[in-house]
Amino acid sequence: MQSYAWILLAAPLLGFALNGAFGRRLSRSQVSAIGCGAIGVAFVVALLCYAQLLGWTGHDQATRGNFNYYTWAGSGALKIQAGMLIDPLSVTMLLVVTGVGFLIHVYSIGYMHDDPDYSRFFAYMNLFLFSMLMLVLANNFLFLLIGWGLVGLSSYLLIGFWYYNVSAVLAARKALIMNVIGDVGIMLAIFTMFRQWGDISYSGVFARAATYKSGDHIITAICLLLLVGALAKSAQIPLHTWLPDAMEGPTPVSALIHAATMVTAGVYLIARCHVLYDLSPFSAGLVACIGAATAVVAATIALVQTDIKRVLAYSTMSQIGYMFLGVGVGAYSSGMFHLVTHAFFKALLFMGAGSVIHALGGEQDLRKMGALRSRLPKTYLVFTIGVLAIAGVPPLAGFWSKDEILAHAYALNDWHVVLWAMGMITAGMTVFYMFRLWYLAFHGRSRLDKEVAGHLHESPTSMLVPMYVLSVLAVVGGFLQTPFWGGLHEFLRPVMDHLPDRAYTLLPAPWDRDVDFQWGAFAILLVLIATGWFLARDLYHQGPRSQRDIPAAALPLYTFFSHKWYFDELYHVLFEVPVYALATLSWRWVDRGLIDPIVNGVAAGVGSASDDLRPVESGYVRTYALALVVGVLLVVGLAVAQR
Amino acid sequence: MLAVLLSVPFAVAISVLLFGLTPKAAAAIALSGSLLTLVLAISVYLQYRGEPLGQSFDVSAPWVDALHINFRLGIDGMGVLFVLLTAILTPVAVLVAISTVAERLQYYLTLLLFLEGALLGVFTALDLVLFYFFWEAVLIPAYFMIGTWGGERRIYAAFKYVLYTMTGSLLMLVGILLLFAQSTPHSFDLTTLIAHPLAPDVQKPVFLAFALAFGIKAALFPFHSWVPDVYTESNAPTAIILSGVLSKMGIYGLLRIGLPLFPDAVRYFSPALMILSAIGIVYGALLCLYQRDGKRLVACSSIAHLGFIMLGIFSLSSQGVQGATLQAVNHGVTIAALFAILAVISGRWGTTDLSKLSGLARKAPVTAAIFLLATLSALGLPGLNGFAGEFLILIGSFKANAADAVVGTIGVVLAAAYMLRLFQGAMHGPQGPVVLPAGGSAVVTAPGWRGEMSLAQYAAIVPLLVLIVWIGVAPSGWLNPSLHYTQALIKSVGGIT
Repeated sequence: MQSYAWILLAAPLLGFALNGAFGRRLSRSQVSAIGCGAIGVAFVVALLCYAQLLGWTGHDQATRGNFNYYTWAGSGALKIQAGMLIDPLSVTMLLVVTGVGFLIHVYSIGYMHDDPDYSRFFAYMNLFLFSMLMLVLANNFLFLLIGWGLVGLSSYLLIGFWYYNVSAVLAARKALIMNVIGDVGIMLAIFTMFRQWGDISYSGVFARAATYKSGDHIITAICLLLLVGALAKSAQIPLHTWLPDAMEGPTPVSALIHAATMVTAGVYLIARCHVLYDLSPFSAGLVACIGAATAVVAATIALVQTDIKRVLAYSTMSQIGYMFLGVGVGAYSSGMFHLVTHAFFKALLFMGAGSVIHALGGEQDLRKMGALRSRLPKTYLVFTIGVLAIAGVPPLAGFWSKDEILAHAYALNDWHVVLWAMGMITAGMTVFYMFRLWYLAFHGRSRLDKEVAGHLHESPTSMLVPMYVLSVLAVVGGFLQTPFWGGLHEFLRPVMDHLPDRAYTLLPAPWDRDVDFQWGAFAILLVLIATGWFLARDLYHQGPRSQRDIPAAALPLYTFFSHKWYFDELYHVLFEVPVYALATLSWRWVDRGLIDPIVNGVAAGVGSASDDLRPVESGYVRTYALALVVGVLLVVGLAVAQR
Repeated sequence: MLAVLLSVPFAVAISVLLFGLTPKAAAAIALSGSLLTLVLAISVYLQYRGEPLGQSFDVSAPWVDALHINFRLGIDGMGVLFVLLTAILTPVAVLVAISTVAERLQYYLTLLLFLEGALLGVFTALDLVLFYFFWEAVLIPAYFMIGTWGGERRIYAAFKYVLYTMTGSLLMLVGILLLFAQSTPHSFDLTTLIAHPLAPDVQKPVFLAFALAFGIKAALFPFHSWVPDVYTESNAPTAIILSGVLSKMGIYGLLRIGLPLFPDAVRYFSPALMILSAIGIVYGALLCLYQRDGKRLVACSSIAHLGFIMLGIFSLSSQGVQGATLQAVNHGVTIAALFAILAVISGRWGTTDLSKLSGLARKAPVTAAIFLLATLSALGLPGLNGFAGEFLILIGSFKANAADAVVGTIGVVLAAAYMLRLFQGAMHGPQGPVVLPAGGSAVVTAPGWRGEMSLAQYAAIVPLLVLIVWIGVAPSGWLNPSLHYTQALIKSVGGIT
């Protein structure tokens, strides 16, 4: 495995280098071949890894794919290796990242076709894949952090891809700064691990952590610091405000980075560090609470958005909230399961939205769409599948994975039932806002601008085929794991169980908690779907509602939601204003007002005292210089002569 | 070998003065001379076999017999990194000077090479008097380079620089004399002094004298206020050498003299110095956030970055000290690239004022890509050189004092904010109105006009980019040389492994 796994990183990196360096001189088809080919190769290698893994026993699956290539740095007690860990958990991510990534690369051929910076786009996309694979493949926290930082960079580059738009530039900067805050969280977690255990490799850290008692402060501190990184990357409250703005990037970017892969890295991180979170009920509880809260908050904002991509962005936040809820209640396989199905249907939805935007020449406002069903029948079909899947209509993918997370939250059986209720409410809202979007875009009467309507066209094959593939996956993806067949659960078991001698015991052990299929919850879910759908149809099948239609009592709530709960405004007052005030204070008052005058005062004193001597002095400096040169040469010559 | 290495820059400086009658000839002599020095420095590095200080490349000749002052040079794995940094950045500065210095290039290059020789002397001297001699010798060319070729307020800047450093060096001179008087046996010899440290209570005042001299040079808060003026008023190649190498004299001094000679005093003062360094990180970052001029912003970023380096040194931890040594190289490489790029921008567009620049990437996509890489290095993006240094510094500091390291990480976040402001402010956004160099307006507005770098500028910057990536991907090669030195040091000061 070691002999070929490096290709996973080398292929996208090579693609990045080739398209980045020579892309301008290559034809579009050459650029696409390099860009897509690199990811295709990575996908094949990921399949190879998967196949080899299947041939191993459970214990081997968790440990044998752990190898090092070279020493990155060593100093004192610290030794950091550049290596990889290929186990069921990372292979799951590998397949999703390279598989969905490949489809989105193919889709981009059509979507970006008219962009003058075509090769730069593919170079960045390959760079992203490289970074994401690095994050997933790392076998220690340092390389996790490097991958973590590099996906942040690629995300920054792609959000700001159209760098001549001020809004894109600002969105990109915001995303990077938020993500650096997350990076710092992970950094501090690493420092704590090193200080405590002198080791930052996964195997070393988890083995040592397993000797601690549940609730130990050190473990909790590490969990919370890692969580900061996870929240920033996965756009969970309170570090979520960058994701909606990230929609400034081209739509394939939103599909790949801001829906299917990068933003779910936080879920992966927590699943990867399950040993730590198992030992820190407080942190795990916090993860679950934040997940549930984000699910609800994001859904309420999605209810009132009018930009097709922003609805999907908030929906992504909300769905990742489910995943956090899942891993927070110890249902790691359920969280990962939702990660996989979400990658299918959310990438599909973004591609569908991209197809609409492409057809409408860049229009993203739902109020200016309508009646696209007949004009874009193929897009309509796949988009409908995506909507049904995310709404959780059985037996599509979203139903199984969402249901499982909720069942696990419910089964914890204490205060988690509140979180379960929040999840249920979110499920209802999800149905509503997705069908609202669906009706506004595809049904009712056409509200297109005349010019746009004239150019309306269905997307090219290169965009449609990836969407077809994903629609199939969005339909059948749920059967990876059902309450009656624990496919993914059993596949991940070696990773979750691979410390058989762990000293701690957990009650109830989250991994093997038995959760039956809950028919009651199923019934509620069906009612929610029907209600949400009906409401959306009733309100929006004719077209958008004006603000006057909102009852006076609900108007404050509407304003609150449409201002995104005022997070941006709050952060502006809380962080931006004080920091810049402090910067002004530092420069104007402290540096130029206090420190510098003291220095200049001393200088002026010396200066006036020696005014008369100045000509002599400057002459002296030159003589001194000459003397110095001669002296040095003499001495050096002497030394050389003596050798 | 070291004596040859040291004499080449001086010889080249004189050749430039004598034979560089046309700018082209001066440039050719200076460039080949500085490249020759680089080759020699690399061969010293390659021949170095890990011996401790004083046993490798030892050059020794009596200088002033009566006072036991020797002309003694030597090198170890820590010192060789500083020698390499000097030898790498001098040709870079020469190349940048060729494309930016319009007047009296011959004299400028003479001073530049003279400066290189003096710097190499600082980084190899094993006798304190010799060290002091070179330390002061550095000041002379630096003074003229700032004061003659600088911006509008160059005289003020040059005077400020000299005044600041002279204060420090006077203190250092007092320190050296005290050290000689108090040491048994009386000596100026570094290896002797390291082997026989002073009594603990005598160490404190002497250490403070040295620490102040080094701290001023390395812009330790609150002795940093010369930095914004001096770097901003200097022309690009001067700024490269000042920020890239001269500031490292302070770092080198701390590593070579400050820590090994006064282990007890260092232990006593290091918590306070760590706090000052941490303040410098955040304070420097805040200064950056205020700046509207790109050059001044980069100048202020130097305060923050040197704060990181000193935080690592005073953490007295293995990772912190090694990380700081690595970061000294990193900072030199990165800031040289940034100043060189800003020189390209001001050469093409006539200003580095961020409020007047916008959307340059349209006209100069390759320069933008290069600028981005340097920016990312400066903001500590994981995978590049700056990260490797900062990570090691912070992980060591965290072990020594978690609170200081946490304050340091605030600097990491702020660095992202101000470096992106710099890069995006100039390169991104709509293509704005540009302030043009005299007579350039017709050219710049022509549709086919490109704002990319000249060949000489590429030649100056591309090697730095290679280092940025190389050190980031595999820092161990740049870390291992300082391993033995750090181990011995940590043992003597009772630091953390």
